[in-house]
Order: sequence, then structure tokens, then C-alpha cells
Amino acid sequence: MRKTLTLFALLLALVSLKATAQDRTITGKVTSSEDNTTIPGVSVVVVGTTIGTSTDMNGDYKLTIPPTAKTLRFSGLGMKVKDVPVGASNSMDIILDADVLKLDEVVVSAIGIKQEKKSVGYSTQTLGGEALTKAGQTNALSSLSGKVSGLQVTQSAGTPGASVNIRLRGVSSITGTNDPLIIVDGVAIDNSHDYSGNPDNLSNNYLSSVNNSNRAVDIDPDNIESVNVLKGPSATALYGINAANGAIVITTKKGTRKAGGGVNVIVGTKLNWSEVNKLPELQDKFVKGSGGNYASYQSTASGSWGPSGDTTYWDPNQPTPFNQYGQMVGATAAANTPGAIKYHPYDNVNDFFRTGFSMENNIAVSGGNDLSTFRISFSRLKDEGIVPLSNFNRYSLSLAGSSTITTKLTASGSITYTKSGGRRVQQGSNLSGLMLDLLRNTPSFDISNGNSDPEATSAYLLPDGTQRNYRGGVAYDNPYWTINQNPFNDDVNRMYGSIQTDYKANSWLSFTYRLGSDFYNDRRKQFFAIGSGAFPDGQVFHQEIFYRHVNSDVMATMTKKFSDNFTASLLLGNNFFGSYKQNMYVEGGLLNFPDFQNISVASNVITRESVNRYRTRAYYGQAKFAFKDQLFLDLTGRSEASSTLPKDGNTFFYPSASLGWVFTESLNMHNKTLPFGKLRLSYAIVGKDAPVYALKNYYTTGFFADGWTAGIAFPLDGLAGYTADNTLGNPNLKPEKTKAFEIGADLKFLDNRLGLDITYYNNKSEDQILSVPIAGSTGYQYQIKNAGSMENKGIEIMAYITPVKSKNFQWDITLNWSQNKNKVLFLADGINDLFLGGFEGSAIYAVVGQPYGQMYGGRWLRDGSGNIVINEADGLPIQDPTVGVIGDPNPDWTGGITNSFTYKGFSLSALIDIKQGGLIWNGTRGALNNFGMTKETETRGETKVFEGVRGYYDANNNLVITGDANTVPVVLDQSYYQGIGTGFAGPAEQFMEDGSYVKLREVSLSYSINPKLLKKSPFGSIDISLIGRNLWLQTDYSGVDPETSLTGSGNSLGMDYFNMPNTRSYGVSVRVSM
Amino acid sequence: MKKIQIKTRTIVLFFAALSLGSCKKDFLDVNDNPNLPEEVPVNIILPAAQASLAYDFGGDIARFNAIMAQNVTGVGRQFIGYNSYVFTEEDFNNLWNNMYAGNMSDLYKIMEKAKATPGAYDGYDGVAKIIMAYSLGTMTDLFGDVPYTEAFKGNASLTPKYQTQQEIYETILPELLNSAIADFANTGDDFVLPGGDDKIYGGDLAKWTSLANGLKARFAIHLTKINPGAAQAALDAINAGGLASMDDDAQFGFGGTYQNPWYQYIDQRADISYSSIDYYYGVGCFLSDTMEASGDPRYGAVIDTGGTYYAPGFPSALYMGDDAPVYFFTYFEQKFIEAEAKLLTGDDAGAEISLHEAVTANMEKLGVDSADNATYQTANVVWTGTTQDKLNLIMFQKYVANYLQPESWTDWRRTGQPNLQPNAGSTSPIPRRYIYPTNERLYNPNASNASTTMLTPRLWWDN
Repeated sequence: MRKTLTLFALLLALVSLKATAQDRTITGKVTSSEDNTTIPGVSVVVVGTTIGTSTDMNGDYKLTIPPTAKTLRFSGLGMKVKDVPVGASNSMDIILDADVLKLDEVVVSAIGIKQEKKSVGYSTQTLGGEALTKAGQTNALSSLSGKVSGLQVTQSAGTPGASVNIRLRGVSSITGTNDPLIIVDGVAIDNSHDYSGNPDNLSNNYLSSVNNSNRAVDIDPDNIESVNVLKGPSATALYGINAANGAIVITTKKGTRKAGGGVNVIVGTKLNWSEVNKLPELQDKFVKGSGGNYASYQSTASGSWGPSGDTTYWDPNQPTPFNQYGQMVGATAAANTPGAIKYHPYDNVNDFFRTGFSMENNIAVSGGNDLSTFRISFSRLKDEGIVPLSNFNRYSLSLAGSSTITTKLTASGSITYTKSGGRRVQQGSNLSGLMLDLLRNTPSFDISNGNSDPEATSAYLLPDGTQRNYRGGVAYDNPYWTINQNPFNDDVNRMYGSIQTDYKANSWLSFTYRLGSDFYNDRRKQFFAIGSGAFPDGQVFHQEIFYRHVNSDVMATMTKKFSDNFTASLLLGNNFFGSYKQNMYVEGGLLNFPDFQNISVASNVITRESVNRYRTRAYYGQAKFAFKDQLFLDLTGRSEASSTLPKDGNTFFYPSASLGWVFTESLNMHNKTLPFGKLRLSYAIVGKDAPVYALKNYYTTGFFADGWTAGIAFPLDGLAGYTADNTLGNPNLKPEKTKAFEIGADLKFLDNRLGLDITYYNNKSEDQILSVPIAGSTGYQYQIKNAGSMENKGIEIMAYITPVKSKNFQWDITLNWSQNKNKVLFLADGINDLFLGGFEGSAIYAVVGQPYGQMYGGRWLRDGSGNIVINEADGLPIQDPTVGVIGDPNPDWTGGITNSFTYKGFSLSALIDIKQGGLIWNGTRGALNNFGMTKETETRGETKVFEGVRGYYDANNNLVITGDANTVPVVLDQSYYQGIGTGFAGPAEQFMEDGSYVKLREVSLSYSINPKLLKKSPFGSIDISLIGRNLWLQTDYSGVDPETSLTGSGNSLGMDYFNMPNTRSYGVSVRVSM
Repeated sequence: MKKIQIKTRTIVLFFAALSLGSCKKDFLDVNDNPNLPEEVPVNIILPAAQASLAYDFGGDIARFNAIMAQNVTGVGRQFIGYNSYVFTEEDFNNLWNNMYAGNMSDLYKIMEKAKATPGAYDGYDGVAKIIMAYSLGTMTDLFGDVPYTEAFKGNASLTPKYQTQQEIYETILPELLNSAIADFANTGDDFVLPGGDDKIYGGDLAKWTSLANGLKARFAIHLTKINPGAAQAALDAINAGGLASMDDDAQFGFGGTYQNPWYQYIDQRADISYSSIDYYYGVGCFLSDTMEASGDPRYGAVIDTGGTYYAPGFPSALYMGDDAPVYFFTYFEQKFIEAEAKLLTGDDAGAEISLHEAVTANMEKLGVDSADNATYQTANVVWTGTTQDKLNLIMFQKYVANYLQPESWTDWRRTGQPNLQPNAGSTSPIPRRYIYPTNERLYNPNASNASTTMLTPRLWWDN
């Protein structure tokens, strides 16, 4: 009772405080100096207090102020802050100047803290959500290409939902993930790219199978308010593990109160048509056969080394179910055959692809009142790809809300449910791989058998029900067989979101608690019908991946203004993170009867289960000091303990410091030429833990294969068999460290008509935890240890220019340019090369002293001066029996140029994206030479003298190099192209090609209907855009679009082995708000 | 009042959140692997070790050696290069690792576990040693000097030193085989016999003993080029109790859920031609062409001329059936060794008898009609001419009998029989050794002077 009374008294005191007699009320109107229009939403605050309001729709405000109030501060978005002393008058009309320097731009840090960009001591780049939605890309990340310096985006293929590889400032981890963190509203979300297939095959599964999505595909681009790209460790050090790869910080759209009440409704539709943008050139002159002779349609011959089509006829008197016009005969035979039909080559590849079509619809409803806001949105994407029957669908439902519960306590949260997946495309080194099957196919065989319907069974089935393909029914699947008979479907159900409460205890202390979670179930099913090339007895597998993580952050923030010149703040926090991932795999072979796509018809079933659990706990702190609004110092520290490290050494600490100095302010350089200039300097050390279960040695289920065949797997006839795992664990692992130094400047010239943001960085990663290969004679193949060290040095430039700016017309140019120089400094004692991924003889390696990710493989033998040695016995170059570096896939630099023009309601924007340098292994060409299908084999039979020096084998078979220039001609015939002229038998070196490109990445023409015209309609705005993507491509690469990746978002970029082509697309988008 | 209540509750909530987990000491204790065991018993390791040897011996090793010994012709993709003897070190990575970091490492684990429990697992120990001798002997016959005493030890020895082939032949192989035979004599109360987990002999230790003797004979006869006592040593081993009939053949059965390696290769890759009537390629090779030309009744038994199993011209179901076994050592091979050893030790009459027995044993294994066998032998297995002629006859018959067996390349290297010529399109002589794999060259300094060609240096027993 007594307590209640006290509280009541307190409450009274609070109420009475509000009604002090000396208070007075100020009213006024805020207008813009530029065009005299009134400005709504301008914040009006009594300086030194929390008393404030904001202007209404008409720019009017009304504020009751205490007698102690001396100054009012007016601040509005895009306007210069203005402090006005309170005078005697109760009416204060204010004119605000536009802030052309945009100094109030806010960036969101990895941990979800908003900060004025002006005060940041490291490089970041912010994009509005529109930059990601404009081109209508399925995967939000792929829209970042060319728009951010230091960010390299590689769309792995043009198939629906294909994965996207993202790298910020190169790679920091030699064998670990190099994906930046994807953070949504302060909580990381999973961006795995899991392979499909038997886990015993490990990463080899990336080389074949289908192109699965990386999980960022589940983000609905229309839900994104803004994206802030934090490029270096300094920016992300506070966030913790994996921070070395930078972060993509996404802020989602939140509800806003609608002026005048009611709800905002936005409805949008995008339609997009896509087509193949580039295919390898093939020969269509020579028909199926060998040595210039015909091979019959039913023969299993694989090559197109037959006679020329010019002298070929079809004989209807020799019918075959493989060809509607009959067998091929030569001109002489045709002369004696009545009814012989002149042969023509089939254009299988171009006929196979269709125009893809995607449609995306979305609706968002938002609203609120003084205390609460909400936003609910739903979107639906249906993407039917360039490959018949392939598709990707995504449904996304989001809810976001916030509520001010008391003046001190607010709560907010958002939750997104996504359902995504589709019917995927077989690719890569895979007998069902569509490009492999399409490109190896001979021009004399019609894969469609005259059908235009991709589902027509007579294309891929013979009358007896067996497969119809160009090799008499064996080996490579007919592409129509694959799309109809070997479906792969995936279905992801995912939910992620976070809730947050903020409690402002008093003017200098506040608390935040944030709990986030992300979980999904990814169900995949693959069916290979009986009679498929790789699985003649059929196969079916189910793979079910379950992922869940929970992230908890508690933060206390203390801010103290010591004087007008000096402010300090301190943040202390605690973080818990735990993740769980389960991968269940069930595979059934030897199907008992056809066409029934259920694992119960399999007579040979294997199952695999794996569970990965991982947890971390961290304490962190950040101290910020601001002096005179011109010198900003940030210090952070984080102490993290991880479940994957040895118990007695599982905790590690990493600090960062950054300094921002607005020198134009300090030096009083208030002039028009350089109104704003800031220097940035930062240093950070970030840590990283070990992979799970890396401390011990284990046994694993017996699985034995040899690189050619599927092999055998235990249990075998009900008998269990375990074998010692090939990797040696290490009980003494310690955390990895990346040390990052960064210096840069932000400069704004000529009333912000010209801006320049330039950064130099130098990052060095040490003690990297590697699975280091060891000699097989140790009984193992790998040993986990702290070893590798690598550095990245680079320059990033972001510039913008506004050459023309008038009332109705404006022209803006934005430029991004970046160069990253990576160097592997050390791998492990005695180890100079480390396999990262790929095939035997053409793989990606880390090599000491070279940039990361070198192409490594078979090469020509060279003399001491680097000349290729030619065997004078046959005039052919000699192959080096050892493998080595054959090319660097890393680009010299990347850049993007955006030109935008706005005229009244119209805006036109074009982005040119450039990648300079970086070699690609064209394994497709290497293989196709063997089959006589590349364009270069069309001139078969011509002679060539290989450049190099002569050598011969003496009686003891030792090579003797004479040093004379080679003059021995070689006939480039079938035996050459099936010998060293193919990637199968010859060195991979000859198939390394320049992967540079210039592409017109995006063009958009938008029109916003003048709001004045809509005043009487129910619509608030109507925007219409025409969009084009990849409309033009300039490259010397002879294969598909060089923006390609066989292994998706993995670490081995630069490999093209029957990769799916990319697309160019055209679209239209309409957005209406009510 | 309401306000304050909320405030109190919120602060409690903050502190509760702060303490979440931090009171739980074992929050981070989740690094025990639920997917893989740290230890497994020997009867779980043995079948895996046997299967991996069978898949490798019947896979990469059989295919490469079949190219060398012209049992087959490489006609597609990589095998076009192999057919003209263009190999790189990368081609041997899988093979080496599957042996050293596969079955041999697992056999070593069984031997170590047996050592840790004296008496109980001597049966497993002996079996493991015999298979180890087989694997090690196979590897040295392919690569020459190879590691053994410092091998398989993981962190304890990351750069195992190489043993000379001489040391392996003269010390390690006899030690392994003798000690295995001694292990089997140990029959204490706690002695655990292998059973169904022994996929080769089902735990029949007598058969394992006979295999140990048979292998001693095989290893002994390999040394005929350099050791005058080789033939006698081979005979001694056989007389000590080698295989008694084809029931004792050491072979690993496939079938059902795990298909024979030749079957998988033909079904999944098909870059090799097996005969002039090969359905895919129809490119002949020395062995099948010779058999066909000589009217050898085994031609129809090893080549599926009618395509009744898979397709015409492929190896028969005895070799490429999905359930065909991989043969490690056969009674007929032992008989051929016996014939050669008797001839070289001057027992001409005994040698002739052993040769006929060997050919007959091979015909029986293949299910050839006995009358066809007799007709063929009368016409073709004719004991005449010089000792060299007789040796050539033995070696040719052994070559035919050992269809697709890796042993043929070894026999060719030590005897030069049959008189093979390099394949068409090759500028190099027929290889005489394998190249050490990449990882040994890069990561084991003890292999630093390794050969990088398929020709030199020749193996110790090939000089």
C-alpha cells in the first residue's frame, strides 16, 4: 500500500512536470529555400532536451517549449540542419537550405547500429532497394554487379535460380568460405550453397548435378529498403566470425504512417523475357562418323569425324528410328538411289533453348499511427527458364511492425516466410548435363526428331521404349530425355526474422535486445529413369537439408556529451549464436520397374546422415569519440569463444580502430571547390575459428571409387565396413587471424556535382586453418593445421559526376573501379600448391607466391627459355609429365559505369560492367575437339607448324633439345584432335582463354506519371519501366558468356566445363501506389 | 503505475537475456562428432579393406596394366592418350591414395589393434598381413621403391622414407607372410576367427595359409631376371603348401548392390575397345586378336562374341559381369609359376606336366569343354625346341590365361614375353614403370628423386 502511494506521488510529479505554467507554444511553417515549397516531416527539437515534434503535411509545426529552451534545431531529410535561437515571438517560420552534400546520409553497421556516414572511418557503399529490383533479377545479390567497387559478382549460369558467387575485396580464406556475411536487420542469415548428391563424393558434386541456389535467393528483392556494403574487416570486426569477408547489410522496408490516415498500398508487376546470350561456336559441316567414313545412326560412335555434309544424302529406303529421313549415304550411292534427300545439318542447340519468361507480382500494405506501424507484403515469382520445362518459383510473405509501448520502450520485429524452388537443369561433367549432351551431339542427328513440343516422347524414345540419342542409345542422354525423364526438383520452406526491444533508460543510457532466427528445410529429389546414360538401371535420391540458427544480442549504449565539442559513447554487448544443420541423403539404385518415381522401387538403397552443430559466445564493446563534429574515433573489441576450437584455447580477442577526419571542417576550407573532405584510417584484426569436428581422427563408411566410375559403397550386402577417414584431425588448432589496414578519402567537389571516394587497403590473413594435403603413404591424404597466409592489397574508387543539372533535366554518371592484388604467402612447410577444386589435370589451386585460385593442370614441356619443345619425330609439342600453373583466373580490375538521365517524369539509366583480365579454362572446347564439334575442327586436315624448339628422344629415351626452331608440319586431323589437341589427352594449358568482358549490364527507361495528374484518381503514384539486362556483350572468350562458374559460389572460379549459358533479358515493370 | 511495472519487467528481461546460456557451462560443448566414430572393431575394418583393394586392383591397376600388356586398346577420351603411353603423374593419384591411404592403411590399423590385444585378434592380424603383402607387392611392382616401415603412421611420420624394392622383396614381404602363418598357429581361448566379414575366404585360415605360400611363389618368380635362386625359391614355396585347386583361388566377389569394376567402367565410361568385334569401337588388340586367330577355345569364353551378356565383343560375364569377382591369385597362375620354375631348375619333364595342368586348370576355370581343351593343347601347347622356346610357350600360355590380370605386364617386363611392340601411334617404347603420384612428389621429400617418366629408372628386378 505504501509502495502504491509512493508510485502515485511519483506519477503526479510526472504529470505536474508537464503542466508547468511558464511553458509557451511556438508555431511556424518550414519551407525550402530552393523552390519555396513547404516541407513536411522536418524534425523540430529543443536543443539539449528530448522535447520535439515534426512538421505536418503542410510544413506546419506546433511545439510547447520550457522557459529554459534557448535554441530550436530544425532537421529534415536532405536539408541542412539549422539551429535557430528562440526569441520573443511565438511564431517562427523557417527556411531550410537543401543539403547538396548529403552529409546526413546514414549507414547501418553490421551489428545493426545506424551511424552518420560522415563519422565513419572505413569504406562503405550504400544502395537503395531500387538498385536491386530494377532489373528484375531473381537473386537480389546478382543485381549488385557493377554497382559497388570492390565487389565481384559472378552469376554462375543463366538458369532459373542459379547460384551467384560474391566476393568482397578478393578472398581472405584459402579453403574456408569467402562469402560475405548477409545480414538482414541486424541478424545474419544463412547463404549456403549446398551441393546435391551423395555426400561421400564431397565437393565433386559441384562439378556435375544441377545448379542449386545459394540461399540468398530466398530474399525477396522488393522487401529491401537499402543495402549497405561493408567492405573490410574494420567495418565488420564487431560482428565477429567471418567478418573478414565483409558484409552485405540489408535493411528491409518498414511500415510508415500514411499522411492523413489509412494505409499505403503498393502493387507491382514485372514481366521479363530472357534468351541465351552467347553459345560456343560449333562446326556443322561434318557428320557423325570416324576417319571420314559414315557411322550409322544406330552405332555408338561418339564423334563427328565423318564425311562432309556437302556430299551427304539421306536414303529413305534405309529407314531408321534414329532419323526420320533414313540413313546417311554418300553422293555416289545417292546417285543410284531414287528419292535420296539432300542432307542438311540440324541446328539442335539453338532449337533446343526457348525464350524464358518470368513474372513477378507483389503487393505491400503498410500503415500505422503515432505509436505503431506495420507492413505486410507478399510476392510471387514464377520464372520459366531458357531450358524447356525448367522453372524456379518463389513465394514470399513478410510482416514487419514496430510499436512504441512507452516513451522509453519500443518493440519491433519482422518475419519472412519464403517458399522457393523449382525444376533444375542438369549441368557440368554429367552424362545428363544438358550442354554436354547438346554440344557433343552430332549435327547429323536431330535430337527433337522433328518435334516442336519439348515433351513429345518420340524425340527421346525409340519405338521399343529405349532411349533415342545420337550414340545409338548409350552414354550421353538426349537433352529431351533429360528434361523429361531425369527431373530434379527442390522445395525450400524457410522462415527468418528477428524481434528487437529498445529501452531508453534515461538521456544517456539505453538497452537493446535482439533475437533472430533463421530456419529452413530444403528438400531435393532427383530421378534418373531406367535407361539414363549415367544410371542405366535408374536411380532416385532424396536429400533433405534442415538448417536452423538462433542469434541473441544484448547491448547497452551509453552516450555522453561532455561539451559542445566532445561526445563519447560506449556500447557493451553480449552475443550467443548456435546453429544446427542436418543433411539426410537417401539414394536408391537398380529400380525394379520404370517410370515410378519413388524410392521404394529401388533394390539398392544407401543412406547417409550428417549433423553439424556449432556455437559461439562473445562479449564485445565499442567506444566512439566525436570531437567538434570533425574528428571521429571508433575503437572496438570482441572476445569470442567457439565450440570448434580446443577447450583450453577456444577464446580469442580481436580489436579494431578507425579514425575519420573531416579536414575541410578543421582547416576551415569552406569553399565551393571542395566543400567537404574526409580522410579515413582504420586497422582491425579479426578472428575465425575451425570447422566443426576438426580436432580428432575418425573412421568413415567405406566408399571406394577411382575417378572414372561410381564405385562401391558400404554397407555391402548387409555387411558394415568402415575405413579410416583420409583427414588427420589436429587437437592443437588455434584461431585464424586477418589483419586489415585501410586508408581512404571521401571528397565532394563543386556543390557535390563531383564526388570521389577512394580507398586503399592491405589485408593479411594468417594461421589459416587448412586441410593440407600430405603424401598418401602416411595412410592419410590431408592434415588439418594452422598454416596458410595470404594477402590482399587493393584500390577502390567510387566517383560520381553530374555534368548537367537543370530544373527539368539531370545527367548523372557513377563510376566504380577496383583492383585487388592477392598473393598466397605461405601454405605449409614443404607445400607450395594446394588443390581447391576441379578435375584431375585441370583444377584450381592455391600456389605460394601467386594470386589465389590459379588454374593448375597439364602443360607443354618447355626449355630453359620458356620455349615449347617440339618432338621432331612428329612435329607435335611434348607434354610436360608434371602439372603446374597454367593461368590466373583473377581479374586485373573490375569496373562499372552508370549513366542516368532524368527529364521530368522520365529517367533513363545504363550500366556498363567491365571485367578486365582473368583467364578461364574452356574445358568445353577441350572436350569438343575430341568429338570434332568445335568450330576449329571444321578446318580439319589443314597443316600447322607448331612454334617451339626441336627435341628428340635418344636411344636411351632421354629427351635431347636441339634448340632449333621447329619446322615440322602437323596435319590437324582427327588423330590430332583426339590426341594432344583435346583436353582428354592433351594439356589443359591450350584451353586457357581470356575471360575479360564488357557488358551492357542494365538499361532501364522509367516513367513516373506526374502526381498532379493523379490527384483526382485513387492512385498516389504510377511508375512504368522498361528494362533490359545483358543486352550487349563484348568478349574474346570463345565459349559461353565468360561470367560463368561451374562450382557456383564455391572457391574455384574460372572453370567452364559444359556450363549452362547466360541470358539476356527484356522486361517491363509497373508499380502503382494507392 | 502501469508504466513502472513494464519498466521493471523489461529490466528483468534484459538481465535474464544477458544470463541466458552463460550460466550453462556446457553451452559450447557441442563438438563431439555425431557422424563418424573414433574407433571401430577389426571385423568392421576388414571387409572395407578387402573391398577397396578389390576395387582398385580390378579397376585402375587392371585397366592401366591391360593397356601395357595389350589386353585392350584405349580408344576414347583419356584412354586415347594412355594407348600411346602418354601418362602424367596425376593419372596415378587415385590409385596410389586408394592403396596407401585406403586398404593398406586400414590393414595397418587391424595389425595395430591386434598388437594391442595380444592373442585375441591374431587371426585378423594374419589375414591383414597377407593382404598387406599382396598390396605392397603390387605397389612395388608398379612403382619400384615404395614406403613401408614408416608408412601409415599419420602425424607420427608425415614424410615416410622409401624402402628399396630389394629390401621389400628380401625382407618385408617374407616377414609379413611368415609372421601371418605363425599368427594362425596361435589358438588361445580368446582367439576370434574372422567369419562372413572375410569376403575372400570366409575365415578359412588354412586357405589363407595356402595363399601365403602361393604369394611367396609369385614374389619369388618375379626375380628370375636378377636372382639365379628365384625359381627354386618359388618351387619351395609351392611345395610348402600352395593353393590345392581352383577352390582355393583368392578372389573377391561382387554383385547385387556393388558392381564389379570392369562392369562399372564399361557401363559408365566405355573408352576402351576389347576386340575387333567390339560393339562400340571394333578396334582389336593383340591378345584377343591372337586368341581368335589361333582358334583358342578360351576366346569365346573371355570375349562375349554373341553379346549375350552386354554387347558383342566385350569381355564375358566372367570378367565384366556386374557380379564377376576380382581375381587376386589363382590356382592356374600358381601352376604356371610351377612350370616356369621347374623349367628353370632343369626339371624339363615336370615343367611340361605343370604347363598342361596350368592350361587345363585355366580352361576349367573358364568352363571350356574338356574335349576342346584337349584339341587345343594337342595343336598349340607343344613342348618342343630350346629351353627359351619352352619358356616362351609357358609365358604365352600364362599371358592368355591371365586375361585382364595386372600380372601380365610384370611377366612381360621380366621375360619379354610375349614379344609386344609399342602401340600404333606411339613414339615411346612400352612403359616399364609407373610415375609417382603428385602428392608424393610434392609433399614427401623422400620421393624427391622420383621418376617422372614411364620408362626410367627400371625397377630393381627389371634390370
